[in-house]
Amino acid sequence: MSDEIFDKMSAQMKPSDELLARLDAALAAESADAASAAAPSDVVSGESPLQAASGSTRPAVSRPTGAPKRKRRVWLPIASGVSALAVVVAGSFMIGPMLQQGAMESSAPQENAPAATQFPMDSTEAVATSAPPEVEPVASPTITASGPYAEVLGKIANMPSMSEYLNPAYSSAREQANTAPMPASAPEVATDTGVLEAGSYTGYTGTNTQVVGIDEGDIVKTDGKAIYVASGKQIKIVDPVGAATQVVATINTTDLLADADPAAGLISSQVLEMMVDDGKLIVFVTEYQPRTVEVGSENTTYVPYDATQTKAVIYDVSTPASPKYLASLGQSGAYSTTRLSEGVLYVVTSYSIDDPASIDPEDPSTFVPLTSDDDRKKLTPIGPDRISICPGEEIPVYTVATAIDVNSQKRLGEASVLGSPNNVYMSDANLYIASYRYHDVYTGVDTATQKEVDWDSLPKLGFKVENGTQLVRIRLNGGDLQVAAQGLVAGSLVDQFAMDEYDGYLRVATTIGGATGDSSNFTWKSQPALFVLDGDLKTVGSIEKLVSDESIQSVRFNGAVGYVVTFQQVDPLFAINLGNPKDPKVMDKLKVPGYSTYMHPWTDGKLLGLGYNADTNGNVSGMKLSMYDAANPYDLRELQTEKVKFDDSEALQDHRAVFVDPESGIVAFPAYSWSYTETTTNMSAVYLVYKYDDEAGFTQLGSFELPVANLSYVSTRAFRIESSFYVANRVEVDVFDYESLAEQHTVKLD
Amino acid sequence: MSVTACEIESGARMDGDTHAVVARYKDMVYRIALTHTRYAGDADDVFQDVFLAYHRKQPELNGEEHLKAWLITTTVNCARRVSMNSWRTKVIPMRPEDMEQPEVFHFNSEVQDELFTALGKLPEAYKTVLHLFYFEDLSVNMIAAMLELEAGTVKMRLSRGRGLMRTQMSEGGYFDER
Repeated sequence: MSDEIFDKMSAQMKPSDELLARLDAALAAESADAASAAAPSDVVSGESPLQAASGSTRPAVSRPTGAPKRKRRVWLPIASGVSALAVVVAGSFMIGPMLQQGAMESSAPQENAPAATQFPMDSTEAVATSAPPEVEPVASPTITASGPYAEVLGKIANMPSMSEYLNPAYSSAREQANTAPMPASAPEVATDTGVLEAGSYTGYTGTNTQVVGIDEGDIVKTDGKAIYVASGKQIKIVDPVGAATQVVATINTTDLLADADPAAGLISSQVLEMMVDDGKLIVFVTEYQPRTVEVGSENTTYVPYDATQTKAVIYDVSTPASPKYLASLGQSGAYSTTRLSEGVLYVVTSYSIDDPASIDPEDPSTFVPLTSDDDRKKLTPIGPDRISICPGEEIPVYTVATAIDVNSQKRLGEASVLGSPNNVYMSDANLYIASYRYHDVYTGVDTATQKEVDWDSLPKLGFKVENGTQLVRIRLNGGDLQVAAQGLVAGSLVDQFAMDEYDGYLRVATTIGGATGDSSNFTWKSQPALFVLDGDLKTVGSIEKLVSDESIQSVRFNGAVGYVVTFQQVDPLFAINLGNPKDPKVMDKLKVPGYSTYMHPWTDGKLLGLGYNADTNGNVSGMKLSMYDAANPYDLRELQTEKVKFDDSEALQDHRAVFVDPESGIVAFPAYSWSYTETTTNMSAVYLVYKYDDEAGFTQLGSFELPVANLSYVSTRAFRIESSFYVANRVEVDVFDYESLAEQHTVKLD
Repeated sequence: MSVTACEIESGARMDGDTHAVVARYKDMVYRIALTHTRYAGDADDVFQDVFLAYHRKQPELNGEEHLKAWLITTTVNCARRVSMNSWRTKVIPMRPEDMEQPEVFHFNSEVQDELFTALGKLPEAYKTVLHLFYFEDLSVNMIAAMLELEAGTVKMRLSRGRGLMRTQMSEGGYFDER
């Protein structure tokens, strides 16, 4: 194949006539404005010049006549491809004497490590948690920039020129009495979402989460009493009663949100995700506001709407058929992710200062994140003692985390970090924010921003490391969030599963990129590694090289054991012993074709893998399910593997799309395939249900057609509630008998 | 920024009227927008923003090559803003009802789709360089001048970007030079 392919693709990438017409209309409007304002010289009239030009050929200037002809590039088949599943074991019965208790129990950390003693704490942290605000409450929300916010303002105003990390200077107490944290009291009622009850088909299964007992927001949620489906700006509340399943109520978020105030020009997003807890439904919506000030720099340009705040809108759904609005709590930024633990909701947003021209040094509300209670009436800048600075961030973007008590609908606390939330993981005691960093090892010349990252602190690996991850630990402290530590590790994370806290230590699996040689003889390196960090996020133990020239595809920690799948050509599964945090060791390594993108602990020491299938040459074709025997991590075995003849699945990117019920032997997920002709593209999507049995292996029990809209798959989730199986998306809810998978009912939602 | 005469026609400044600029560069801007956002809806927004920005600013650009460089960097910057976060949480399209399902741009063949998807997944630094080299037929020196990078950096990103593409292409297959 020659580079003819680029010409072919190039020819297809053209603006549509409709788009050209839209631009034409916008330009005409601009010109009309200008004309009415002052000089009427440039008024557009008559036939659209854009429309007339739309059939013209590619501009001749795109290939300069004097330019040398470039070389032909060809496509060659890749040599081969297999991946590795590594088990990183952080202690197990195999190394029993090293472990205190329950190492294999993923729920063990909760008992083992209470928040207060989980990590060593420095003295400032201890003071911060115990002392009430020391400063007199300030009535006015105006805080001068020369005051406590001077540093963060300096950072943002001069982005990218941050040089310090973690608020050493921000020691003053919180200034806003009305946002002072509530006394941190443990909520009385804990959610049972996600817990499968013993016995046959009673209770329900919730969202498939990373940590048992910590719920994650999603587009479809259930509390066993109702199924809540996000459908545009509405939430459909479905009464899940088998064949009689029906929609019992619809919540219209537009009734309450900014759309009600068109004068302000605000518009709100669709329902992004939801959480449900103890008769309360929390709905997350981001509001956007048109930009009123044009950006100053020549190389930036006008973007019509900026994300201003994300709202947690709380409804009483104790009677699902009659939901009642309770409260709305907002915070700056676009929705990132949420967690729910022990009745406390943690909301993470990403807030970028899109419009530098709007910064007023005298008004912190123009450059620090805000929180609001009940609509926009009370906007409060986050206190300077709750804002930290993460080195090396290229753009002025904050991670904003707040904690809300669901029962009282009161905000318990908030914390913010100047840095992007590229990956977020929450344990029982801490929220971890991972922010990606990169520098150019080819030139060896770092920008001022890149120099802020302490690259020299990374281990010497025999090659120049080009990527790193800045980690921030925010202590939950019952909702009184406090940034507690920061640290840097080499490499980047594949997803949130690459982080896991156990027994007071954070384990992080990364793929380190870099290069050897100089510009005349340059060889790229890619090296999976594993680090164990203490409470100060300092590395105390590591495996700097799991394998050479591969990259991590998936990670799962299960108590003291860690599993890592890497891939270049074969899929090795590594078992790593993390029983001694200071000396993690690879226990075993298994090479199989293809690679898993998601792993889930099964029963009896088995491990389920879901991912891409490949032949021994590494040519990927479709998907596969695998079951590994990891009961003896020193002797990993692949027990069964089943090809799934579909191209791709949401489940390979998002763990929440996987339904796993090891007790029943069921694993289920959506999947889709493309088909092509010369001129058309078609998509088919299905929901697949498999049963695993030690003797029979994987058996496909069902394959149910899913809706396809505009050649797009519709995100789908599934739950078991009592003896029925519900497959839900914004278009419909399909009900099946969980045992026989016989279809019982279909409810259309739109 | 410096561009040598042998790398681009340095002819007299062409018409700077917005409509004339759109006519000359609409395909280039759209291609860059699409490569950097991957979604047709986002690319449409970027496309519109870039030319509106040009229209409002009427930047003083000394020659066609500077105009082209301005459009390229503005498009890349604008696309970065759109895709800085997930598209649906970051920017509302002109018509909010379009938010629901991002329409992924599709090519005529699976291989082209795959190539485009792999390109879209690259870090922006690589994506921009690969795009300009393969789709806009710009030389390494031209790219270096436009992005204000060293030529060596551009070569490195080309090489590294091809390497990343190689690992991402699920069918297997990679760039090589003959």
